[in-house]
Parts: sequence; structure tokens; C-alpha cells
Amino acid sequence: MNLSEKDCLELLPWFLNGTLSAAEQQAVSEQLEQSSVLQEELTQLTLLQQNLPKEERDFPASTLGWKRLHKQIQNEQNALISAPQSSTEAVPKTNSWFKPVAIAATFILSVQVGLFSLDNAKDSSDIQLLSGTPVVVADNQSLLQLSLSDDASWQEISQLLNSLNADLVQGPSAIGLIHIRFSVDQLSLDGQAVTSNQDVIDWLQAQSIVEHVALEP
Amino acid sequence: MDTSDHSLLQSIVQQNEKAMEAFYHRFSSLVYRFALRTLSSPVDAAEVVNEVMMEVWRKAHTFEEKSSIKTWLMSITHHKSVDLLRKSVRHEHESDEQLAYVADPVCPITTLQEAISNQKYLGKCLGTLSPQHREVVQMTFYDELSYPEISEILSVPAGTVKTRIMHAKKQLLACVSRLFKQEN
Repeated sequence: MNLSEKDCLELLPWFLNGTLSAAEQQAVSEQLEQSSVLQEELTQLTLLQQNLPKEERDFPASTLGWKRLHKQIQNEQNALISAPQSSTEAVPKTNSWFKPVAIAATFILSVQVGLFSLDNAKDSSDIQLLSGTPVVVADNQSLLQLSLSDDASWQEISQLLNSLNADLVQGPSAIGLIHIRFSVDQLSLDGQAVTSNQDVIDWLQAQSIVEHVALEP
Repeated sequence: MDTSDHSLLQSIVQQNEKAMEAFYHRFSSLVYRFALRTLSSPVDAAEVVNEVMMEVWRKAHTFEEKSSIKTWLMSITHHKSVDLLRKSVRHEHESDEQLAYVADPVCPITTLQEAISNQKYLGKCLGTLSPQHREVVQMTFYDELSYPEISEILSVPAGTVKTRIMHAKKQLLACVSRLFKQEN
């Protein structure tokens, strides 16, 4: 590589810090041997380099700085998770056949669900309680929600259920509710025939251990 | 190429926070020091460290292995620092042409060498340089960067980097000579 004295003069700072390419380094070295101007320049630059005041090298707030950055990163990630996607991202491009096919699929599903429901309604119905557990109740049966007093004994509760020919289907829940299933068919309470659910409710409300009673819809 | 730096960056691309923490502790001093040269305010420099590292977290995938991670980081730092400076202060920009004429030092060579050897003078004179000239000197002699790297970091042609350091050197010599004469 051929470099003029002027070119070498310009490259001297990097000759000094050792970052020139091998070819440049070689060319400058060769010129240096012949040029007193370059030698003088190199001497000045060397002194300059040696005597420049040293810099503070540490970042004083490194740990605090990381905590701040970390918080910012987490906030940004949370925002990305919770933020609704922009309209361009939210609506994926769909083919033109998508809409009619989706309508047809919805229609078929609706018909199937309808048929299934009709079939099940023949002998029993499913009641979905607030707890999310479905309870099967036959057409001649009813479901009651009860709340019993804290000091009610198991014997008293058992006696109550036997009187109604009822069974406990769920509970007690976190707020103390139980669900019982019973039928008024051929039921008598305290020697009197029961004709409706209201008779059962009235009888239950008269019991000392019952605090609340309601018929599940 | 420092492979451990590269593997850290690869993990950051995968949004690995531990890798980001290690990267932060490894490079925050470099970024801080570099920003402080431009901004002079430790608070502003710390702000730039945060912005630069956030940029690394968001855009690690944009790093092209054409340059070193250090050069890439310094380039981001330079641009963030200049942006912050522009927001806070309206600086009068001296063009390289305006600075083309700098009086040559008039001291005899031996006196000049004595003057340059005085760290106190040099420190004072470094502070009188324009930011553009000072940063080239610092990048060359403190950071030991090559002129192509400096050119990339500052986004200026290599010829401009060479011109700036020549002018900076002339100014420094003139300044230390003047101080030397005043005191002797």
C-alpha cells in the first residue's frame, strides 16, 4: 500500500492506538523511517495520549439503574400482554369464503344442540347451579336451596332429609348453602299430604334448624 | 469478537431478563462515560444509559454483526446523547470549515513538549474543544477505536474523522502553549 506523507500524517493517531489495518500500519511505518515531520508529529501525539487526564470509569448508579430499567421492562411487557392489539393486528386477513362457512357451521351447531336438549328433556332436566356443577333433576322432582343453623346436628339434618324423602345433592358451600332434591309425589309431612312445593317450603321454614329456604328455578 | 457478549445479546433477543441484567452491568459504565462526554451532566448521562439499554432490550434483533457490539452500543449512545442535547440546549454548531483555521503553536518544540506533558493544562484545554472535536480525541485515545469505527458511531465520513482529530490536536497544542506561556 502506497501512502503519501499527508495520508500518513492523518493516520498517525490510529497508528499510535494500534487500530490501523496491517497494510496501513506497514505503510505508515515505512514513511516514518524517512520523514522527520511524521516523527515529530508522532512524538507530540504520544505525549498527548500519555498525558490526557484519566476518565472516571464507573457508572455510579449501576445497581439502581438496573432496578429502574428492570421495572420499565416489566411494565412494558405487562402493557403488551394486557393492551388490546391494534386493529391491524386484531383482525387477521381471512378469505372470502370464511364468513358463509362460519354462518353455516354456527347453524349446524345450533340445530345439534337443540336436538340434544330436546332428547334430554324427555326424562330429566339439567340444572346449572352457581357453583357450576350441573345437577340432574327429574320432571317430578324439585331442587331446594337451604341454609341451616350452625348448631344443627347431623342427626337433625338426617331426620329432615328423611322426612322429605330428599337427598343432598350439593353443599355445604362456602357460604353454608346446601341443595336438596325431592319429589312431592306421595309425600306427607306431619301426617298431612303435600300437594305442592310451597307446602314443603312452608314446612321447612317452620323447622328450627332451617334459616333460609328457596326453590331453585 | 467477544462470543460471550454475542451470546448475551442472543438471549436478550429471546427476552431473557437475566441476560439483560448481565449486559447492563457489563456495559453501563461504558455507555455512561461516553454519554457524559457529550452531555457533561451526570443526571442526563444516567438517563441516556437507561434509554440506550431500553433500546437494546427492544431492538437487540436489529444488531448486525458487521460491527462489534461495543461500536453498535456507542453509536446508539451517541445519537441518544445528541438528541437529548438538542432538546435541552440549542448549541451553536461549528462546522469543520469554520474550524479549519487554527493557529499553529508558536512555542519552540522543547517548550511545546513540556506544555503537552502537563496533565492539568491538557485537561483544561480538552474542555475548551467543541464536542465534535473532543469526542474524536476521546474515542481515539481513551476508547482506542479505529477511525472506521468512529466514523460509524458518529455517522460521518472517515475523512471528517481524520480532519477533526487534526484540528483538535492543533487546538490542544495552541491551548497548552498559551497556558504554559502565561504561567512561565
